Amino acid sequence: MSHDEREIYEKSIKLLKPALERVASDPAFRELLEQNPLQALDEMHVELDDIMRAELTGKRFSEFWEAHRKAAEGPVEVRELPPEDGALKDQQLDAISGGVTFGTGSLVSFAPPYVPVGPAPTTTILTPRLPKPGDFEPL
Amino acid sequence: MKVLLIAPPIMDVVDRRLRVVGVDALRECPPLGIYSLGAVLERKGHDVVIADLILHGTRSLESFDHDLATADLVGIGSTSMAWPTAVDVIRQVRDRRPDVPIVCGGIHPTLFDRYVLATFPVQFVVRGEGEVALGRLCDALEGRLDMTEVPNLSWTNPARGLVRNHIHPKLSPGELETIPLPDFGRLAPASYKCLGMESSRGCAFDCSFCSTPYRKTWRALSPERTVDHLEQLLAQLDRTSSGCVHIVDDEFSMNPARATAIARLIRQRGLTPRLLFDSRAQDLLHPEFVAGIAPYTAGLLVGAECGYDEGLREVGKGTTCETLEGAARVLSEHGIAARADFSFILGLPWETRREVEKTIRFATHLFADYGVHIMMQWYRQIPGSRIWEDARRAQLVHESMYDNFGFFRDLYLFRTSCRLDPTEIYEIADMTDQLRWLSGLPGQQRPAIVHHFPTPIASNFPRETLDVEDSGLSNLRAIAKPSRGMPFRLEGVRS
Repeated sequence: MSHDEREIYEKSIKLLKPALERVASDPAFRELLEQNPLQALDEMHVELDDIMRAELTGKRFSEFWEAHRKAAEGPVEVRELPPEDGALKDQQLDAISGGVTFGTGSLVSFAPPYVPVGPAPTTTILTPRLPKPGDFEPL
Repeated sequence: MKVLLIAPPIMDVVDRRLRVVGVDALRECPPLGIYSLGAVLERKGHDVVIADLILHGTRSLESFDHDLATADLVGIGSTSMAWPTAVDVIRQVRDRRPDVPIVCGGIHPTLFDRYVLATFPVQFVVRGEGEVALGRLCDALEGRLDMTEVPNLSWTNPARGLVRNHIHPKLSPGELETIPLPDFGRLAPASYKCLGMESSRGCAFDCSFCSTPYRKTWRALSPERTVDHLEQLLAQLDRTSSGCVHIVDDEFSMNPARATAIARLIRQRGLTPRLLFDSRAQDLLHPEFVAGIAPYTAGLLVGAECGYDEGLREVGKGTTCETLEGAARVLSEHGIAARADFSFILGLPWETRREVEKTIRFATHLFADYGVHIMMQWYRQIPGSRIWEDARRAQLVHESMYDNFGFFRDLYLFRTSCRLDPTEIYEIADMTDQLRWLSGLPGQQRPAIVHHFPTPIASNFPRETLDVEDSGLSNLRAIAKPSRGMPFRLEGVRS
């Protein structure tokens, strides 16, 4: 990140600081942000661009976030196994479970552990009127 | 002697299929322990094959059938997270080669040698460092040494039961310097994100949540030898996808003067590495170190752990919030705050919602004022820590609980440590969701605030059905005794 880019980034964070601190410490503000995110951010003088405002209009924060969570978190990476190309049978799972196994009941499918990998893809979360920083040096 | 060394990956069932998960799904860097031991054995003249199942993304040994068929010894190194896969690998080996001796090593077998030898068809466990022990085990298997003379070895003697041989003195810094570097040049290009190297071993502290071995001890390579190793690795960087070198030390900068000298040598030799490493907050208060290492820092992790001093005291890291803030300030002043991840733990055994919120407030403050990135993760019961030991003493946890796949989903293990109830955890997540969104507004490439919602809670306490009043019993009561004044009459029942 160049010096200018860093400066822009730091200024962006400074603009957001009051809102961040209110979220971290003020349940009433959290509730307002949940019920009416646009009003909450307007009160904190955080300006959003028209696209973002349109996306937030009439929505609770949690509704909006649910739609954007995946993009913000980046892909959850689990790697495929080469040998099998279909789902494992319960007996196969039991056979590899190791140690003491109790019964052969079916295994429930669970959400994977979150493993964000690398940079989140470019999202439409916002292009705010906040100054736009340049990219970080990629890892 | 032909030795097959196996590195099993961390796996779990996801969408009804067993897959590589966690850090092993990312192929962050080669499992350094197994590769180093391979290099040590090769130097002694043995024929070594490394079955890097992390690289191959599998639990299956099929690709190594020939090597397994011709091996004289099979070694399996495993952490607690990868242990269920190691158990599966043991069974595969035994199915194909009932005769071959198996030796297990790594942190999990080191912790539980008795359990491993009693429960699984393996002959040997190496406790702790394997560089000397594994070579001598080969000597013993070839009849040149008595088994009792193999240091660090646990084994079963038919007459005496479990035998724990003596522990070899820890390798001295000079000995650590002579460990041959693995030849990563044998890997295919872009096999891993980074290449790993060790510049020191151990940590001077003994944090209550920490499961790494060699706490309260620290041995380091000299700055010269460290940079020699680094130079060798840089020649093999085409094997990586990121061009980075990961210094896998528990704390790279445990001695800031030494770390500063390393940075100075890197500059003097005209090298331009991109390094990933861990540092303690105190060490970052040495401006010379940060100034020296900043140009080569692609990323660093600071184990911040708690956002309140009482918690930091419980953890035992010898740090305070003031120190953490000072470290964030120094990183900001040197322009590398956004490359630093401050890692916090939520839900430590002594924490209520109040303490968790304190940590989140403090972490938010560090991001908002200095621009360091924040990672928040819920505490998990990983064997080897003081916290885990307390839970085992109270007979809440046991090593057998780590034999099966499912650690990341295990509700019982999660709740043996976390005191917050699911409703509180969901409310905490509401807060972190808002913080995550706000922190992403400046549009940087990677998330500035990360919070992983605990899968055991998501899986077992779906939020939509969390109303404690809307329970099965209330439904039974309702059908057994309809409330008075209902707008209908039951036939045959007198009012």
